Amino acid sequence: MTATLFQGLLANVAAQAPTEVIVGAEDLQAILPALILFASGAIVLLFDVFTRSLTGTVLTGTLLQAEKADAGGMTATLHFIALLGTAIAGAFVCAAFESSKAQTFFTGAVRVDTFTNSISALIIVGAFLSLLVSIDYLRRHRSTHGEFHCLVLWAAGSMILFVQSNNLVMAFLSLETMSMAVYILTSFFRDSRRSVEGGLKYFVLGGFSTGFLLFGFTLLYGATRQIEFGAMTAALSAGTADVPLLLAGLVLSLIGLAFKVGAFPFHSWVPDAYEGAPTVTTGFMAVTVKVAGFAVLLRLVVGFGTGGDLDLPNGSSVTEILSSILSALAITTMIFGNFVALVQKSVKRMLAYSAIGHTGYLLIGVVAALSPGAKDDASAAILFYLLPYSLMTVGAFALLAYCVPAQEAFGGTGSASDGTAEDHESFDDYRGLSQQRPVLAFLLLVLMVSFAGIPPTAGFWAKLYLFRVAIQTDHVALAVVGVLTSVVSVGFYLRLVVSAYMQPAEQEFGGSDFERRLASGLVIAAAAIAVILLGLFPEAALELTASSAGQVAP
Amino acid sequence: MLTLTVFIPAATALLLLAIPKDNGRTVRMITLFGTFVTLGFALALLSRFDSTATGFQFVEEHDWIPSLGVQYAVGLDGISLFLVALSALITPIAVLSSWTSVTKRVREFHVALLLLECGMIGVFVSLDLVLFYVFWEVMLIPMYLIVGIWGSGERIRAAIKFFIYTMAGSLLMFLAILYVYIHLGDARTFDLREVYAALQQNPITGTAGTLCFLAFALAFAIKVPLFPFHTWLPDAHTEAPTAGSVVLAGVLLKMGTYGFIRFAIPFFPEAAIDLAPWFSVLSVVGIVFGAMMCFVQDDMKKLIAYSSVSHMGFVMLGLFAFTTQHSVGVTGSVLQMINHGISTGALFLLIGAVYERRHTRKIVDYGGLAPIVPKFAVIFFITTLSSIGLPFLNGFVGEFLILQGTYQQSIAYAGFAGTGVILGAVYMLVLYRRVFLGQISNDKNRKVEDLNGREMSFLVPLIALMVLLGLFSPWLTERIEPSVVAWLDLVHASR
Repeated sequence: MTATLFQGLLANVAAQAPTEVIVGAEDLQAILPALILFASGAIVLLFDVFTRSLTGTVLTGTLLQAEKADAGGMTATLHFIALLGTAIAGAFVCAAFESSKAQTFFTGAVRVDTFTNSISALIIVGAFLSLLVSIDYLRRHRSTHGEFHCLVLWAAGSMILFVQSNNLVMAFLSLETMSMAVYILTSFFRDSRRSVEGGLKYFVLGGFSTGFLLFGFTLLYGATRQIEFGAMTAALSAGTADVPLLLAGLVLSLIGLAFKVGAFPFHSWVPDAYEGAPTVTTGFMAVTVKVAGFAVLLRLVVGFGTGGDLDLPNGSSVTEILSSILSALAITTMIFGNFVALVQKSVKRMLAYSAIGHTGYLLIGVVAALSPGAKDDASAAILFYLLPYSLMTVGAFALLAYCVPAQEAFGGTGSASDGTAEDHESFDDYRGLSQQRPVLAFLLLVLMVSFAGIPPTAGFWAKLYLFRVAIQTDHVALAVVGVLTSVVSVGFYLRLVVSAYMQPAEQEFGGSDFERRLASGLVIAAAAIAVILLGLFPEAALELTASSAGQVAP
Repeated sequence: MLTLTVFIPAATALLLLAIPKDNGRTVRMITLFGTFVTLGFALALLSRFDSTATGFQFVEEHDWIPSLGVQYAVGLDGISLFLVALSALITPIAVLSSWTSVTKRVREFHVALLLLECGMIGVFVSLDLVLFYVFWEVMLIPMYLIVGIWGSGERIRAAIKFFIYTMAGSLLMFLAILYVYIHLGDARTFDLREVYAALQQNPITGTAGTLCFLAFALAFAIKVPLFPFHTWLPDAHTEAPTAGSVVLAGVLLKMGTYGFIRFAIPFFPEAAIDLAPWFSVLSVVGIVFGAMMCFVQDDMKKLIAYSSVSHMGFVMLGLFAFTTQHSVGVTGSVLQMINHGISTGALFLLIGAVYERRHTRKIVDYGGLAPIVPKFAVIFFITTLSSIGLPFLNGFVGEFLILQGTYQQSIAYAGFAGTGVILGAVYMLVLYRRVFLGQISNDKNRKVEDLNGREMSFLVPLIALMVLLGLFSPWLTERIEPSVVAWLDLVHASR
């Protein structure tokens, strides 16, 4: 059987490859945002290497000198290049919105449409804001490695390719590139035990899940004899696919993707990786990995779960089986994430479990997308949910990064020596925040309220849309579990508000060093303001997501 | 004009952010000005209200989020009219009452209070289900902060309890709202008036109807609070600062009963009529239980809190007399909401005033206060009489109408509720005796100062209102009744 499959693959490649492979200008233009991100990553890396070799002797000197060096132009230039690259990439993504038609490039390997553009825009926003936060976060951690920016840019670039991918090979390659970059980013503080531990755990489990994904993709190929998503769905509707094999492939691919988005029971890396990673990395990956993961998950599920008349030999339908598997995932993920978040002592871990909980809510949307006639609505609901989720998450982790005390961030290059007192992580560390830094406390309040889905913030409309779709598709049970776990989530989100607003201060927040945290302050403020504005006037964003969602199906 | 009434408080709150935070006096003056302007608008609404019309008046409609079918629509009818006025009246009083008692984070306190007012008025005027829900939840955060930051003792636990209870109820209601929306099929709308019409054509029946009704009812029953969902109330009331208790008792509780009238019952009349006996029984239990609890309280604020449970039981009982198709019980309920807001609000203000002087709420710490603080004693007495429903004061008419309505429905309910009235008189008078009459047992009480001008400035108008509403209650009922009659038609139309 393997031999036939292999021959089939060869024949397929031969059939698909034109006699002369031409990469046209429009092909390159399609992946231009990703290319720009890769290029600016490379520039950052080269720039870092060459300037470091010139000033390297200075850097290895005393801490004082190191501080001089980091205060100087070198890292500033790196920040600038990285931010500029992201901004340009973002501009090209925005320009790509102009054509609302779905097009494929590179002989079908890449697909650009409004859906991929929306997701790419979210990823770029996430990367840009994280890079901004990293300006003063890395400085406080005495980390001057340009690799950080480089990895963020490459990760973002490959995420965009992942989302744009239109065949199994492209999807797998870009997913792996993205994952590698994020693994390294997680263990970026190589002297911190927690960071390395988190990174290793992420890497090992990630490798394991990739195995599932790859096997799943192989089976999908085996079932349809196609690697391109469009051709695969065509094979489904034509009835030439091997349905049991397809189901097995889909389930295995789902496991791989469920790992990436952190759904129960494939979540176990999330708390450790989120907690161990440098806070700025946590914010970055919490947003972008989840956004990219859900985009592809949605595309896969909508594409293969709803196409054609997919009945197993024993009569049960693939769509229904997928739907019940995903429902079970959604329910357990919501319950697990929210209840475990309730008992966390570290804010970072609390946010990690809350991220698992939000994965559960998003999975409701994926389940709803499987129902007949609801895939546009459900996809739009997921897309719209991702927008405030990204803003809140970036904002919340920026807030955590903002509150790193200066004296504890002392240490050699790229580290905090023991890794236990890196950031303000326990709830008690936020006591009295509102008296000393009222604006910051208010931003915290807004972000937490939005996380909990209370109006007038964007988080509310996100939940409204999602639960509406769930009821519309007769998944009332999912919606009920959703709202009940939302009640639970109020418990832990408000605990932070209690600390910040209702308990007396135990310590001084930062002191004069706070003045040097402009960039992350801006990010928090921007996130909170966006969350409120989206909460008051969500119409424009809703229209955009509705128009993007129509192009989810391959 | 209605929009202005809703958003002037919010605008004032924004304005406050521009004031330096240590300038407490300016903050208070601006807040007071803003709330008085709101009150002015509310009075204008009262005077312009057409008592002969039955539909919604002062209606304003704008598109808000067409993609989700949500619009901005506000309007008033006879049921919500006085509740808006009550909210607009209570807030400036709350500001005045906290003039000297709130000293920390003055600006934040007033911002929270103003946003709370915006939410309260918004809840009563919303004609769109989602808009209503937004206001309903918007109100939670400021109240939570007011209890949690400026409260006393176990404030944090009380605040969280308040929040979680309310959230648990309202999120299920949120699902029910979405369910109603989806159920309407092609006629999908969140517009209240269209939902009424559409649900008449296409009612939600059977189990789904009962469950939806219960989802709405749970949210509102927690807010009222109906026995056995009342356990958050004594905590929140007791730990909240005076202004918080006043707003909570004066307005927030009424949102529960208002919700029953506006949403739960007319949306699912079949389920409401089926389940009405349960609600009536729970109301009666609440009346008697609340009154009994009052006898064993040693904390004045907790006593008033339990008396609220009892009194709100009356309101609920009158409301569920709607099954008899007579408007009298429901009218009494609406009237009693206003009366309870005024008299209980005044009681919390008085207890706040004495707490500010003596820093204790324990009843045993007082006794024989009447000769020392005569003005205080007189005002407290009138308020007590109003609260126990003495004729010619405001409490009487509402209670009478409710009992009349209930009597038509069931003599047993009326009998038990009547016991509640008697018990109510006993515990309030006992409270009065223990605090104001007898020997002065505690020497500290000899130096207590009487009410000052600021306190008189908001208590005297409330006393005047108690008398006026007692004497001229027909002026209110003739505005309330047409809306109630129209409402009854709506509820009973399906039969």
